[in-house]
Amino acid sequence: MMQSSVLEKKEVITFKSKRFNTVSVDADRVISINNGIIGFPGEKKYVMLEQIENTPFVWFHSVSNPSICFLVAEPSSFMKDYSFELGREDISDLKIEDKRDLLFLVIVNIHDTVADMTANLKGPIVINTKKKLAKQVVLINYDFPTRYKIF
Amino acid sequence: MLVLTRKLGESLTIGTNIKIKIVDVKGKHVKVGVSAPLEYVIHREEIYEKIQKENSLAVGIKDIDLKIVQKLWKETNT
Repeated sequence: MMQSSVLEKKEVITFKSKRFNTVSVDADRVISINNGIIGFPGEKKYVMLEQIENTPFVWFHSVSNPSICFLVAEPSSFMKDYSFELGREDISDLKIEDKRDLLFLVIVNIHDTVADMTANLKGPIVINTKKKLAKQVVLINYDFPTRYKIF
Repeated sequence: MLVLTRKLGESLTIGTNIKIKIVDVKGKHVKVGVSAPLEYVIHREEIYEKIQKENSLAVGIKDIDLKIVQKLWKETNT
């Protein structure tokens, strides 16, 4: 009898990007953000691209819109004491079962020069890595700046 | 937009379970009380707008010189 081998072929998605032309990633890397990033409600699927070498920065790119992509970083990479409690709505939207599944990202802005880089600590993106669900939360009860200087 | 006139201490309701009450009026400041089920998150609009503004700016980041980013990061973290 012939032995049949099952080759597991990973599904790949390809999308257009203004910054990177064409991007192909494994489909299981797609993250759903049902409310969208605030101000961009139409884009509901994103992927995290490869980290910029020797830095904590990563591009968080919309799968459906070639122009929408954010430079993000894990806040723990440049801040020690950044923590907050999520609201009930956030916990249910993100279907959180175990806090260890969570990944936090903050959106980075560049002003006049790269040295002015700031991170928005007031509106982090919270990702449930297990369920591939994300949400940009607004930390109304915390006194975090929207422009925290990274350098 | 529906515009209603309310006196101090008066309320208005939205649907069956959201109630908005004018708690205090002092000069140009109006204190508003909101009673709503827990699943509703209530924001001061300006916080939301501020985040939206930061997001719009972030989307507009032009090409960045990765070498400078790497250099700055190295300098800050060594």
